[in-house]
Amino acid sequence: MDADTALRLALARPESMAERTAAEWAPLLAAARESALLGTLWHLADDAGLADGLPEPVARHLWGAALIAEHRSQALAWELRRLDNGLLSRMSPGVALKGAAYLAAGLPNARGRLANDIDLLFPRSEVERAEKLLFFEGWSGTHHNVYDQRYYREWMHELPPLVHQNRGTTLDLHHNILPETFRGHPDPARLRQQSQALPEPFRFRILCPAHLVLHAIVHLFSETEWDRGLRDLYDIHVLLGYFGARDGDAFWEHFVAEAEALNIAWMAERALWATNRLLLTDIPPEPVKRLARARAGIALRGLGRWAFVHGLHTRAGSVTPRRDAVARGMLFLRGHWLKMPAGLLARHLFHKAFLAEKPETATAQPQPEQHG
Amino acid sequence: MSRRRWQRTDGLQQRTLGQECVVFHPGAGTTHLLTPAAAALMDGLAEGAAMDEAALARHLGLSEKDAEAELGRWLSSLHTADLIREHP
Amino acid sequence: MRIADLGQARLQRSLTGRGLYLRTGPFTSRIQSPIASVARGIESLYRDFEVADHSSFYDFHCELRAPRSHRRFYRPQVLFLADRRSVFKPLAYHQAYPMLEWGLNWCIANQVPHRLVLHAAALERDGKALILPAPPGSGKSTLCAALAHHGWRLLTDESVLVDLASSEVSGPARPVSLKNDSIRVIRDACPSAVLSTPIADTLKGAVAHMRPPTDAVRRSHETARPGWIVFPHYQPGASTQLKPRTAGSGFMQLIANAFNYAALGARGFHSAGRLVEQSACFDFSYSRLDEAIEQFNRLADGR
Repeated sequence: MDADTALRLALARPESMAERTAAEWAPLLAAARESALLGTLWHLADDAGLADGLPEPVARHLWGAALIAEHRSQALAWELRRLDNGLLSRMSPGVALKGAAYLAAGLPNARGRLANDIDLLFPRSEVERAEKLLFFEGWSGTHHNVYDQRYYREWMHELPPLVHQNRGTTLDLHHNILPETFRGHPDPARLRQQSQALPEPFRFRILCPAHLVLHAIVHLFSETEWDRGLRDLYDIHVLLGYFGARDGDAFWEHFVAEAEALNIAWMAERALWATNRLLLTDIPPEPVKRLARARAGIALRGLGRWAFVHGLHTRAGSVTPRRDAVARGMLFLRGHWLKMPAGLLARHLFHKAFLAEKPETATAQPQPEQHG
Repeated sequence: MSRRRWQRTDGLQQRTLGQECVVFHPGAGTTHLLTPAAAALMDGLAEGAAMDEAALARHLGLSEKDAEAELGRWLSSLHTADLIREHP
Repeated sequence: MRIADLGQARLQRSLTGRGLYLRTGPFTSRIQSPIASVARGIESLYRDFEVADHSSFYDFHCELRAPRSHRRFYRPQVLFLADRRSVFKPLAYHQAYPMLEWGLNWCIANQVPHRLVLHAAALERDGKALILPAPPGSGKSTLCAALAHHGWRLLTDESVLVDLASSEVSGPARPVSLKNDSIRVIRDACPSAVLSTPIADTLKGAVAHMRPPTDAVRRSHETARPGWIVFPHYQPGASTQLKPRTAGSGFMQLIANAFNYAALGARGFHSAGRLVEQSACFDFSYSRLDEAIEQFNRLADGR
């Protein structure tokens, strides 16, 4: 079995990991490492009672990754509490998004998940005040040139990322879950109104279950880089399963209604197809039927699904690298196309290609000599 | 001397190495090498318990004059590193 | 089977085909490359290392090849890929072998989550580990190469592995990297040492690699108890001096030289703490290698 298929199967049916041979495990681990899912696999194997039966070097890699994720979560929870008790307490509570929300709410996809940034949602009228307050706690901006400032502040749904001067943690302040210029952008007030309290000691809130999943979907679909695509899809898979089992039809009802109200039913339709197809998520027929009217026409549907499946392949584990590269190119263009109207898009890509300075936080490749 | 009460931050990891002491703060991800005085001060603050500054000065065996001069400085550097916090 | 038993033709076939599965201490690396200098380097420097078959697990997947561009024909270059992703800036084609060594170091520094990995050299004697953490230019590799031929067993020149629970020390026992003057110094001090042909024009100047002694390779699975942590400092003209350092400052200096200390959190802290508790810490300045070797032998003998 190829590594990408084995990885998806491990996520969908953890007991399948018992069947992997040593030779299959090596590329499977590489694919999981690329998708930031090593720690997740450890917890899935452990829950399925397989941890003791794994080949020893495999167990070491998975366990070590889970350890690193655990430390990262601990640090993230501390950072969240610190933000909660700091100057932001002068404002009405913000809404924690993505990794921070999964962690604070103790959702099942948080275990082993390598959380990166902190994402907080505030009303548009208040987001710059939050930025000013955070400055006094050591958070400062990263993008200093005029074009980037304008790009974020006028067109995007978040401010330029903040980085903590001492700890290097990244914090994104959002006022919506999609860019201002996104085709048919959702009403953020709706998200905040239905947000829910977190258990003590947090003042921050989180999105309601339907919005939480829809945000994960939006995140995957509006991406221009698909490097962590499989992890995003896994978040969607776990959250659908968890809320579906907990709240039953009520969850699905609300999920479909909110997808429509937020103008993102088309994304929800594709996400349900993809998570069912690739991760075998159990989805009842009713929401699929109701979202069917948001389906693309037959020609585009096939092409979109093809790009989606290939875009989610890893570089380490794929057996179709050339087709994947074409798909990633299509998804990159589509991501940008959705983000901005055509004129703006042309301007943006032109600027990035010819005028932009190299970003300060470039993930430039190091010199090999540093390792000798 | 002020009557402020102090307690150690929850969850700190600490090891004694010879005469010295190192502390790891799991939240901030920082590691600190404590001076003997700061280490003795941290020792006085048991997990979960708060102490006022006069009691801390007694614990360290400081005269009132020394306490006035030194204690505030030590407390302030531990506080900056988030190893202690003021008890509300 | 060892590299020496494999023979040149089969080594080349492995490297250009499904890959050479090379065992170095606790790790297996799958190496693929069509480049002749890579095959020659492995054949000479890894002579005593074990090879695993293709049904085995491997920890790291490395590939060295030219970029797929027109530059193939004009000033050719070489890329190092880990998990099929290029992780470094390209180098000139003839630097492919040192790039393999640097790339394998990168893999250990970045893809080993279950051990504390220190940027340091280490050797063993009587079951006890001598750890030499230091930035480049401190003479760590020169000392390491010399001691490996004077009564100490080489654990590693570059990446020390510390067990998270027991703080036992081990290393992959891979070739030692030597630069500039230290190439001549080691040729003079260790006549039995086998060195690769130096490559003159790397960013760090001339670079050669030393084949690890056979015994060190055979015993690379044996761990060592913590013994000494010594921060070396080479200074032309300096007298040989070994000065005790307090455990606390030794600890802080040690973690500053760790690759994954920050990522491991409390586990890394306690692992490094146990290591320092069980070790004696020193600063060491030297300029004369013979005196340095004598000093370390005295240290091991408790004199």
